[in-house]
Amino acid sequence: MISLFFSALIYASLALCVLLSYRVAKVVNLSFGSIFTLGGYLSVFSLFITPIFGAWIGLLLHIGSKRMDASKATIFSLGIAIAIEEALRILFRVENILLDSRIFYFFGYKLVFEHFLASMISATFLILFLAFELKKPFSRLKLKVIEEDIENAELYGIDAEKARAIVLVISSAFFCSIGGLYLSGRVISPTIGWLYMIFSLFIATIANVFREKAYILLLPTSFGVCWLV
Amino acid sequence: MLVSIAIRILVLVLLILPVFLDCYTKLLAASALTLAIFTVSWLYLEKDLGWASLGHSIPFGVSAYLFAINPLLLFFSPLTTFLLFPLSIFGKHTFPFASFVFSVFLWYLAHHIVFEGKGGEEGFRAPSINLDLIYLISVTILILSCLLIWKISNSYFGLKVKAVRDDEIAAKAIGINSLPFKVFGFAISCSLASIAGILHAAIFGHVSPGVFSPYFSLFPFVAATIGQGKIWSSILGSYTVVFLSWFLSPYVPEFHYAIYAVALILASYTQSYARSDRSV
Repeated sequence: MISLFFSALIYASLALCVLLSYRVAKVVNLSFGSIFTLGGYLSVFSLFITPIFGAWIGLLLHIGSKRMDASKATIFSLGIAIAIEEALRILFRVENILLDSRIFYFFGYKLVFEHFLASMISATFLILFLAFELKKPFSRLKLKVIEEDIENAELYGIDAEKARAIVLVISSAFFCSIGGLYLSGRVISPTIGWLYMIFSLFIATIANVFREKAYILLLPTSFGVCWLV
Repeated sequence: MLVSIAIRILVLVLLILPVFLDCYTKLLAASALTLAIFTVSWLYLEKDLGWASLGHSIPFGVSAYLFAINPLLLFFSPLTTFLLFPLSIFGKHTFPFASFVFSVFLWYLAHHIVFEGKGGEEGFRAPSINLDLIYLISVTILILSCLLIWKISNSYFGLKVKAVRDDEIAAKAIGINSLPFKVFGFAISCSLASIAGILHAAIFGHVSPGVFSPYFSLFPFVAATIGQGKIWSSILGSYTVVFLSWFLSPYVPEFHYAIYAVALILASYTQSYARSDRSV
């Protein structure tokens, strides 16, 4: 049960990134899966470099696709995803790598420390975003206008490009860090991230049906889907 | 014009030459040939109907699996249309990604398909057919596919399909009911992709979950991008990807993915998708 709760937390936060990319950056970011895998491979060296690399890829994605419409930007993100996968194959040569992990006991439950850390970071990320969502500060309202109509937002003087860059950088950095932590203790291959990306996309798609309440309902949706699976 | 003729001659040479070569080269050429049929099926859906699928491995892989489980099931392969067609409810802009995501989902699901104690990650053994025979069948099917598409495309019926592609609302206004034309177009494309999948299974005598992988999902898109959306050039594009991949993979692991990445990134700058999203 505790592992189900932790998984739900992680997938809800990943789905939040997917949803933000879709609504604010207007791109179904298919490179998230590969960024997640990249985090796993980078964790062989150090966990601290994972968000930096993730952020760089997010920035690259923003710069490369800022003048594109949604379809083209998504195709571009798919190209980036496959480029990352191929780079991992070339750099690591060995297809499968077993990542180290540390075991610890939490109220009598045997847990992987890195997975626990990933769920705590995810919980913090979710709480911070929910606070942002519920308190509705001025920046949240700006984000909402961008979500509804990007052209209108620009007409009102909102810097939509900056918001897009921030969303892509933060979400990519987050995916990469969580990948570094959550893939610990597993045998990883360059294609492992697709599964996590598809699962997050699935949760985000269900939550997106609830329109206004999508962000708030991400966690219950994730919990329901994880429980069903 | 000269380039076009040169490409056609080159394709014909590529089709005939392997007959006189060794078994290994013939196997490689047969693989490229089935993927060329696969590309032609994709190209019809994209060019005449305006739906760019990034999950064309769905009819390809499902048919290969059906053939491997029981060869008699191959008669059900045109029904794979009803796996891909419902995804068109997402609209032309989202369809490529919906189909891609669905194909990746099937890729994972295929690892769990077990029938009579066989299958799973290892996949199924498919009935193997003599390589010379299957090569000749494949060449015939490729030529027939091109003729079929050319014939449909230039017919009165094909014009109606193109009218639906360009503007569904306008087509409806002049009395064209778009649904049967869309279903027909999807059925033609999925049937050809299914034939390619069955040939692929028969050539290698084995089907694994890899038939749903991004290698197959994105292959026609990449080959068509290399061929700039023209049938003969795209067939040549299929041969280019297969041959480059086989020859360079010992030096660069899974080299085809490098070609895919470059093609996708370049395509996002140069090509346009979803010609018209005005639907009824």
